[in-house]
Amino acid sequence: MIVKIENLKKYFPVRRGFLHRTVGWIQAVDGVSLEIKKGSTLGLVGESGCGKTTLGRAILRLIEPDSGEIYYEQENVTRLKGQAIRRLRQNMQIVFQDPDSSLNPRFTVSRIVGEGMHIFKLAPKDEIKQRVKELIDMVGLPLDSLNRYPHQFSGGQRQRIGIARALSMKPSFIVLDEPVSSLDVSVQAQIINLLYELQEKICLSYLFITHDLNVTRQVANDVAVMYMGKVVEVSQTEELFNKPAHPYTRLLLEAMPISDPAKRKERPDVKGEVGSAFNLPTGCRFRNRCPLAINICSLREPQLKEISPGHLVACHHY
Amino acid sequence: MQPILEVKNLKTEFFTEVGVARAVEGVSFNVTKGETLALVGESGCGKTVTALSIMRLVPSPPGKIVAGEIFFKGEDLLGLPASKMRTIRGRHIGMIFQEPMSSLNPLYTIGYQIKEALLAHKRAKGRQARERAIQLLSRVEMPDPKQRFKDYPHSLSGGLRQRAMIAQAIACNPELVIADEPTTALDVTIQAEILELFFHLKKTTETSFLLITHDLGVVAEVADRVCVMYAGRIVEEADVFTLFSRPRHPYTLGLLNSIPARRQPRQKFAAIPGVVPDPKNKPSGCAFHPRCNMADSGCQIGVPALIEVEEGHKVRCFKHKKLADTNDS
Repeated sequence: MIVKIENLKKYFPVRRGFLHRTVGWIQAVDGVSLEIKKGSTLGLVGESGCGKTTLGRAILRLIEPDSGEIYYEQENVTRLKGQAIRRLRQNMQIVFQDPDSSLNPRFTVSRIVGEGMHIFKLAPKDEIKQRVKELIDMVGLPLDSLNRYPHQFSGGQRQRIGIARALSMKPSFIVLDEPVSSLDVSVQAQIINLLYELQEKICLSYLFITHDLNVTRQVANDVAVMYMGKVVEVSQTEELFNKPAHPYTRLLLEAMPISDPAKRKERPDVKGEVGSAFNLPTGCRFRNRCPLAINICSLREPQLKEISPGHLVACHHY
Repeated sequence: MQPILEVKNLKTEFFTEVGVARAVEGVSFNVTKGETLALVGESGCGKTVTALSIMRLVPSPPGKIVAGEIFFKGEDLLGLPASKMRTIRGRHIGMIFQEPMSSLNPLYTIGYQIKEALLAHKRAKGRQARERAIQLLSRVEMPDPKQRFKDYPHSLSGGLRQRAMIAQAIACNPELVIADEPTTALDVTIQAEILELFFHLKKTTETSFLLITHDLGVVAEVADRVCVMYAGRIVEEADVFTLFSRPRHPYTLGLLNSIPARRQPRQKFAAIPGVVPDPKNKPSGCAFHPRCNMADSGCQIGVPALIEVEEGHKVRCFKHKKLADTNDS
């Protein structure tokens, strides 16, 4: 176990009016517990607005969680401060979704990739230069990239720069926040291959955040499905795809584009979209969209239950 | 059947300070009534410029349509005066863009923007326009259309914004709708709903669609016929079933292998190596040869012609026979 979180919560206040009074809370992450095994990938799936990005950032403490515990290599890191949290950040890195807004347009590639090592004084200057070259090579960028600026690269190449920057700190755990969502499918394939290679080579652990179940199936050992701040299903990847238990997971699976025109089907009636996290329904948060909703769903909130070894689901039907 | 749109040998170039970018280099295709033609390829291969050329919306300068003809219902769009072209845009050809946020005006309600299209083309007046706009919103399955009519784009989610865009595009019952990556920015669940909506519109209105996308998974859902584009040229054209079962161009094969649902779990898969070439500096011969695993010295010299390998199936590759043999065996 490299990272473990217990009952993590993050609420954002909703302020209105002249005095900016807090009129309510958005429960972005509401009591999530997860484990990420060493050298493996946990896929975190859900639609926009379900809290997956907040969760990813809260694990790194880029957003301070309101409550709950985060463990890194058995050490509780939830309340680390100052130097200790800086040390931790070396081990836990992040790759952002949008390389356009996460790479400084005024920095050259060598400065972007080397900056972390300079700040943490990981090596003397000339050694850092050497290391930057190695990293650039490792992520499959040409060596003449070093003195160029982010805008001179394509989307896929920019994502490679972001990955090189994350790797520069020699982390053991990386949060990948929709790393391929803004890319062409062919380039997605290249980046996924790269991430896969790196994982095997240096035994990285990933939290792979995405809304695309196909990508998840490709990269993840285990998958957690999130809906409106809650994890509704956790399972080993193939089990999830072959025996999805939660109605929401099934809905996501049915919505995936097919790969063969011969298998065209009448689309299932997907009801509505993610509701507002501000006005949560009572009981099960999914019940408004759920085809199987019954009386009890509006009364009590379902808890995660183990239905077979390693397969947890939060639904009253189990 | 008489095609509704006929593009013949279209060439669009951009004259920049650092050279001429040949974005579209002799593209020809037809769209017939009620048909959905998909234009597929990676970013930078000229799909969007092709669409903009049809609408005559290529920013000029630096862009210019240097050759070719575009017939819409038998009329050459490239020869029309600007005022006539304006009556075609929106009225006869609708357009849906990838980014609804940047193509809807943030300062006007979505209702106003849909009404605007109706008023501009004198399809309705005053109160009638309002009613028609609300009808359109309910046709694109916008929940609560009366309420949404008064909403601004920022207060809608991505999926609803895209619905508003579609309502705007189909407001005047156009014969052709050009959809440029209409679902790329959306969640899979919303993507499924939007694709379903397209399917529905196609069935009920006989509208033709020109769908532009990089994702063959989307193509598999809705297209009738497919043109695969690479570096400004069409490299393969076939009906959707043929293309998926018997691809004859290595680039098409690479794109097919990139479809997420076709990849194997927890395994590396055959990605197309490298990137789309810079349109200012394309490789010699077949533009795909640096990324192609079947290329030999011949591919670096001659540009292959687009030849018909079976009825309605055209390929631009020297090695299509070899590809056919290895794939079918």
